[in-house]
Amino acid sequence: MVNRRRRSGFRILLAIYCGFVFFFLVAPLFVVFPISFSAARYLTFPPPGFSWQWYLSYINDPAWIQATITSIKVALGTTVLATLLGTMVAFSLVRGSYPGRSWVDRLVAAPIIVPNIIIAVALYGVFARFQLVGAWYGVMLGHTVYAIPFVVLVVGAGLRTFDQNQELAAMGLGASRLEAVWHVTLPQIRPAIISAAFLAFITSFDELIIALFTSGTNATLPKKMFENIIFEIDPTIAAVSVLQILLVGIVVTLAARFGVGMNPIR
Amino acid sequence: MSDLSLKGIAKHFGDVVALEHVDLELARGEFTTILGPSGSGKTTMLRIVAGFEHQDAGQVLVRGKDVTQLAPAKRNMGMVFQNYALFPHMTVAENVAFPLRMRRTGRAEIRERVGWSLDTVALGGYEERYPSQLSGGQQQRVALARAIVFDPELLLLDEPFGALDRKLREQMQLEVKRLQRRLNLTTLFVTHDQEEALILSDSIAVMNAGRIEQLGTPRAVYAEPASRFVADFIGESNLFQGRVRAITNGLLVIETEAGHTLHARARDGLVEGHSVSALVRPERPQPTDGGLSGINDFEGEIIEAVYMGESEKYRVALDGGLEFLVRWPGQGEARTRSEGGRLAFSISPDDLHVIAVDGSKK
Repeated sequence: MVNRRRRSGFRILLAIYCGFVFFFLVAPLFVVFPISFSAARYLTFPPPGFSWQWYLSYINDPAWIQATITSIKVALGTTVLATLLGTMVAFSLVRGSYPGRSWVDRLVAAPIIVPNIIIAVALYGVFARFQLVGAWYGVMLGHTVYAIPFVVLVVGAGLRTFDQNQELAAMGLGASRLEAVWHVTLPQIRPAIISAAFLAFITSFDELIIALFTSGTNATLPKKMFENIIFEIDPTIAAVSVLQILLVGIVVTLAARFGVGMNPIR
Repeated sequence: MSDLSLKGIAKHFGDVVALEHVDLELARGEFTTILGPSGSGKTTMLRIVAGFEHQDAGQVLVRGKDVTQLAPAKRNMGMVFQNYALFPHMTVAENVAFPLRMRRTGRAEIRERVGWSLDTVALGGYEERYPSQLSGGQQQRVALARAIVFDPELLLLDEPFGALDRKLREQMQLEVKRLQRRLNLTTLFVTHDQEEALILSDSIAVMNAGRIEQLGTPRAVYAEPASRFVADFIGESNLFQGRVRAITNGLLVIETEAGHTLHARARDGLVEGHSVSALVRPERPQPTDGGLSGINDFEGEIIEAVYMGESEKYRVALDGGLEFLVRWPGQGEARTRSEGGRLAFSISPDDLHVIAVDGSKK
């Protein structure tokens, strides 16, 4: 009896705690959404009236649209490159045995651990030499470096739980090693690969510091937002944020649907 | 020509010797079991035959062709794995079609072969199911269908019955045996389960510590084991250490270390003074009325009686301290033998198998 009461008390506390966490996580949205529809000329909360003006100002400003297109190009390029390279690294780490493997294993997370700004400065130095500063694919390369560790971690985890006998079976039944990986291994770790690709996309789409240093005049969306805040604080940035959140939301939904929905066993 | 011959296969992992010069021959359609405890090298042997592991020395020949340098995919062997290793993201039909697709077989032929293969294992109609929607027995049939669909030169079975419950296991064993007979498949089967080996095999290779201790028919390895290890590993046994004291009238007179005298049929190569192990299977002794007049007559007290339905098992303490295991057909209530009672039995000299002990100088 006492025990049960104590337990239900604990449950109430837990619920309150979780409520708080949830509130702090979503609270910014409750501010950003209303402000994006604000009728005022400056950032104020609560907004005095409803208006589409900041969305129009976003759509009608070629600089914003250009930044959006650049960001999407960079993020998609990063997704493809980082997923491809990261998956290969994950395979070599989980399956391979070669001298220095344990060092690769330790160093692979380095881009996450080293402060972003150090990477950004270093990239700037290298890119300046090859005249990559200001090119969207330069930013893409920088973001790929930053996104690869996420892919390696996620795909590596997927590979570790994969039953290697499956690959042996495939080879015993007549598949070459490559065919075995293609027909048997990859389809089964597909959810991990899709999650990794999604992470790579978000990582790039949200990234500011590397873009700040390497994108030059060809700004990405976060860089454009940053400049906007510094030079002319107006609610356009709220409208852009809402659009960005919606885009990411769509990507998440698609990833979940595509990654899991088609697989009858999960 | 043998379908499979292993010649002098040796393999070690670091300092550990996994296989030590193993020779084995399988004739067309023969079902051979590699039987041994874990760590005996039996799995290593199968992996070498399949090509997943490379031997340090020796050759693997399939129908006279040396496949030592061939990748697993080029060896044309159908393998059923311990946990079947069905591909969970493919349907039953896709699983079975996999080896054919890898061989670039035409679409029409694939359909026909897959149909034949699934019919063979009585799984017609399950084409569109996924492995997770099947029972354990059905999954195993799929694995079997997948292993035979491309007409392999050799069927390899790696403890395929371990995951099934007893009743299903016995049913599947007989089904596999029938299938193997019907298709005349040369089969190499690996297991640690001696009962399974006895049921299925044409011949059994008993492995211990990287060597084949004995190769023979199920009857031979059970009734006439070549070593103490084989006698002990297969079935239940009464094993006694002793020495040949004399040979009279074609009978070996063996004195056990506990002081009993046993008579066994004489065998070539055994002479007076040899150290031997004497084996009696528990079902061999015949009940007697008591009295110790004849040869190999014994009597003792039942110290443990276990009723098992079709049989009853008694542990008997013979006068003189020796323990003896006896197993006779199960009896009705009226003929219960219980603990504390007396039991008298006699062993025919033909039912006593004598194993020479290596280096018999003791």
